[in-house]
Formats: sequence, C-alpha cells, structure tokens
Amino acid sequence: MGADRPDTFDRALATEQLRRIILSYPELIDRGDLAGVARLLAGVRFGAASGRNAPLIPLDQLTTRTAGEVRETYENAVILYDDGLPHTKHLVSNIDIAFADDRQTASSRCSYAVLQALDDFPLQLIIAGRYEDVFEATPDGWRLTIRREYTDLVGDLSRHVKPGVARQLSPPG
Amino acid sequence: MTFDRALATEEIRHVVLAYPEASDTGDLPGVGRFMDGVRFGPPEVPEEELTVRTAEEAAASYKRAVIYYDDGLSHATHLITNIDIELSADGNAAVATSAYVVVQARPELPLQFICTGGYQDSLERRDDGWTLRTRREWMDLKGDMSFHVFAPERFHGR
Repeated sequence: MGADRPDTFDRALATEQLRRIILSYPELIDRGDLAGVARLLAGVRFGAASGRNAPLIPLDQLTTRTAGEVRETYENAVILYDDGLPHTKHLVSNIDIAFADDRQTASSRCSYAVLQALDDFPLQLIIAGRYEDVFEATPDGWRLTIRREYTDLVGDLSRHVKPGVARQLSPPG
Repeated sequence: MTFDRALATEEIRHVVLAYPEASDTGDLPGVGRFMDGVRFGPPEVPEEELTVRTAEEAAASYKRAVIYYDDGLSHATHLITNIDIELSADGNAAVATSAYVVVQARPELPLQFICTGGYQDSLERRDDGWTLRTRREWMDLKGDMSFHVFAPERFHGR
C-alpha cells in the first residue's frame, strides 16, 4: 500500500481475472482447441526449460510467436485422437499471484500435473512441472505477456506428444 | 477498520506455498525458515503439546528424514490444492486448510503419486506480514514413499 490517493485497485477482481487466464490454458488444451491455445499464447514471450533446479530462463532467451506459429508448434507436438481430444487432464495447483506495487503488472507461479487415460493406457500421471507467468494491465483487461514453462518430472509421454518431443522434455540426468 | 481481504488472501497463499517450493528444490534453510517457531504436529494433538523447533532444528530434522539425490533435488513435487482460507473478523488471524498430493519420478520409480494428505495452518498478521503459527499435518493415503523418505514405515495413511 503506497499513496494517499483513493485506492481504486480491486485486487480481488484482478486476482479473479488472472486466475481465469491461467486456467484457460488447461481448459483449451484438454479440449484439443489448438486455435484457442494459439490465441492465448500469440504475442506472449515464451521459454521452456527442464529440471526443478533449472535457472530462471533469461528474458533474451524468450521467443515471441504469432498465433500461426504457436498452432504449428502444437500441431507438430501434441497427439490428438480421432475424436479431436488429447485425452489428457491438466491439473493446475499452487497458484501464487503477486501484484507489483503500481498494480500495472503481476507475476504468478503455479504447478501443473497432466493425467492421461486411453483404452489401452491406464489413467496415470504423465508429466509435472511449473508455469511462471507475467501479466500486464491493459485498457482491455489483464494480458499474459511472459510464460516460462518448466518440466520437472516426466512419465510416459508416448501417448501425448509425438516422437522426438518427449525426449526434448526430459530433464537432464 | 477495514482490511484488504484480497491482499491478505494473496499473502497467506504465498506463505502456504513457500513450503512445497523449499522442499521440492532442496532448500533446507528455506524449510527451516518456514517451520521456524511454528507449533507443529498431527491434528489430534492439543495445541500445547505441539512441537516447536528453531529454523536450524527443523532443517536438520528434515535433512535426516527426506531423501535428496546427487543433484540436490528430491525429485518429488508437492501439489497443493483445495486451499481454503478463513480470515478472522478483524483480519489479524486466519486458518488455512489445504490438501497436498506428492508425486515423484526416479529412474527406478515411474512417475506416480506417493502420498496425499492435508495441512491445517493457523496464521497471524504481524507488522512484517503474515506468519505461520501452527501447522497440523496428516496423511490420508500412502503410496510408495521409499524413494522420498528414509523411514517410510513411520508414515501412515488415515
């Protein structure tokens, strides 16, 4: 709390909006809505790393993709079955949001764990990791501007991502 | 006198979520700071019988209990869900309950759930922010904890 001016910042509302953005990703990906994923991540500075002790991905190693590029990345990586679904469930937990003092930006850390089941693949955990996000207040509402995606623990990804992608996701060692 | 309920909730969540962060990264001094002066024990023990340890004692006992591998990591992840925070009427105290699910993967242990349970925390607002006062911890379901703790036989589901 800083200035003496009347405080018009509605922290509860802002928190609600940020949580909705964070939780839209699992909703979209589990529905196989790659166009929706592309809209969410278009223009976002993005980086990925593996290992629970991976250092913070430096800003200059983040890349910004167009919606088309995000979509292409997902199409090349994620297995969608005949019904258009990946048959995964992304559980997001440990959501820890902090607003900057000027309330114009916010950061969030959370964990994800992905479950999957198929007729010939018993329900199981297939991967767990974290998202570290940065948001900016814009006249149109809060916007995701940076997403860092960390893979911590890897299980059997063979039914979720195409060959070659699973290897890239495995933490070193 | 009003208080900023959303800010209190944000800060309390941050306190509660500091534990998995410290444990999963092998930050034993961080675990110690989290437990420093906290009354700790299972739900059924009366408050006056809960154990209180210094940061150093808590970190040392954690180190004796939890397995960390050559890279300094436990290769376990604490997922914290069902966070339910109840603030007192004056906004100076709170009770936070939450559920934990621990997942782990090792070369010998395919990625899986290894235990799940809950925390009931009481917190107090001080000049420098929210402080954890008591933590009651229990386990509901126990899986294969043999790659996470040195003495898995000491843990029991309810």
